[in-house]
Amino acid sequence: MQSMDIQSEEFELLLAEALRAGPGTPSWRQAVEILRDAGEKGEEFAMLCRAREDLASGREYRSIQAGPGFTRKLMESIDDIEKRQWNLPTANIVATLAVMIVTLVVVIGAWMLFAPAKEIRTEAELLETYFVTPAAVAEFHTEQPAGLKPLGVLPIVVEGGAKVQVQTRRTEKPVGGGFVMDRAVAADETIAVESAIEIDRADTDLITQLYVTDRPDFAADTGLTSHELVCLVENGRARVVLPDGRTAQEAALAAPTGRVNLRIRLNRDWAVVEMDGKAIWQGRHGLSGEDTRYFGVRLLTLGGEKSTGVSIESLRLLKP
Amino acid sequence: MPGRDSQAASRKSRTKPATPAPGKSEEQTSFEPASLGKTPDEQLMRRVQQGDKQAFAIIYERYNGAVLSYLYRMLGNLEDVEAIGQEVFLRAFRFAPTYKYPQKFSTWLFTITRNLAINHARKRKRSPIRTMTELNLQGSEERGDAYQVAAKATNDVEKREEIARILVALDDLPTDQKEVIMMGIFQDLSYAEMEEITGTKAVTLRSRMFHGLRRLAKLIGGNDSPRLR
Repeated sequence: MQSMDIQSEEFELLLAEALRAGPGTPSWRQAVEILRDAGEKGEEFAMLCRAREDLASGREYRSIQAGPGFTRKLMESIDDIEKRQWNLPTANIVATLAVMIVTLVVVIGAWMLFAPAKEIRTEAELLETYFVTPAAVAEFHTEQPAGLKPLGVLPIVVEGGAKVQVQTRRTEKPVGGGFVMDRAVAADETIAVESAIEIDRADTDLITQLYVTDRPDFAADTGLTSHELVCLVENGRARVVLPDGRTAQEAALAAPTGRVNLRIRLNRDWAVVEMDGKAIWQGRHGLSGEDTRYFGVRLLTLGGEKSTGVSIESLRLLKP
Repeated sequence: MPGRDSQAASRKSRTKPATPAPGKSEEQTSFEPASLGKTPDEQLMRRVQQGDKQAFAIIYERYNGAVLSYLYRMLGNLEDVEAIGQEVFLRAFRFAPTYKYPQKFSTWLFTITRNLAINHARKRKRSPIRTMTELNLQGSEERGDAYQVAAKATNDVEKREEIARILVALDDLPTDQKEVIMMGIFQDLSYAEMEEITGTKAVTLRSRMFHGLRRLAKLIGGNDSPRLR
């Protein structure tokens, strides 16, 4: 090593380490020995070593220690940090609990306000359900109420009820007229539709229908659709007709004339049909479980002198 | 050095005796590490991470001198040293969870120290107002003056002068050169450690060491030939 060239990179590294480590270290001794052998050539580096020796001698320069006051101040600050660390979680917990409680209250409130009514799965549950909230109401007093669309070709006037005002010409095929509510309802919603009708003539051949359809393809002449659940009154009897056209039930009216109240309660799959507050049929209604449902009333007739004598007084849609 | 004595006197007059706060004795603020005395720094830091304040006290005992001396040498101002020194150890405690075992603790601590010193220097450039502190630091009176330090080092009057001139000249070095000398020579940090702390490559640090010492060597006047021991 003593023959190391002082211009070499190897020596430069050795000297750099010697200058850092200082007098008394192995690298220092080695570097000094090489410089001594180099004579005048190493004079410049020797000056660096001398400056380094001076620094070693003055190593205590600006060396200070913390006094008691410094230490006390630091430890008090650290105590404060610790206290804050203990306090913060408590504050966080309280804040988190408060937020959770408020959120819970809001969620429960929102659920109570906006959650869909409990799903009613059977006709028994439908019977026990009270429908008290009007979703749409049409009273036929002096003019056609808002929220209804007229159907069919049979001229219906609204004057103390929706009725066929004049006798129509006798036809081979029935004609009809009536209304459908603008308000449609999703298939999974539990709902009741009801209508009050007044029968003035016992011998009328008008057919009065309260219907629910999931296929609003209303025929232009009759207002009938191709898939509907119907409760109808005809010849002194009430009848329930399913969407497939089958008659599910028949029942005699309490009286040949007078007021008759019809009601259909239904949910996604089941229905209960009532007349004057009494169930006359209950079972699977056969409407689509997915398609939107439309509600309305109508009158059908073959025309002739007996094509009057019934008036529809109201149509109401109710929610539980 | 013009004004040197007046600076020292000024420092002296501003230094208040360290008195305990009311209701607190000296004993309350001193640390009495029991069985942890020989535990390596890195192991102590693991304990600090688990909230062991006693372990932190030992670390503080071991490093307060190195940290405060480094700050004093770099900043040359005791008020700043006290403020930043407090912050260094507070951060070391508060951010102990960020220390990654088995990283060398001294490197981690000096990285904090250096960053705070640099930030402080920047701030001071913008706003030279200094915070008044109590100056609870020990050793500044006798070791803060280059001539007093040199006088203790040797009886040779000429050599004393040379040492003192070199020590005073440290303040006039460019910051990057001064930093390498402070870290490498006064703090005994290796080039590898300095590289980690400063993010500067070791080859550059070596170069700075050469240049810094060369500047200091120029102060060695006279016709004396270099004396190599």
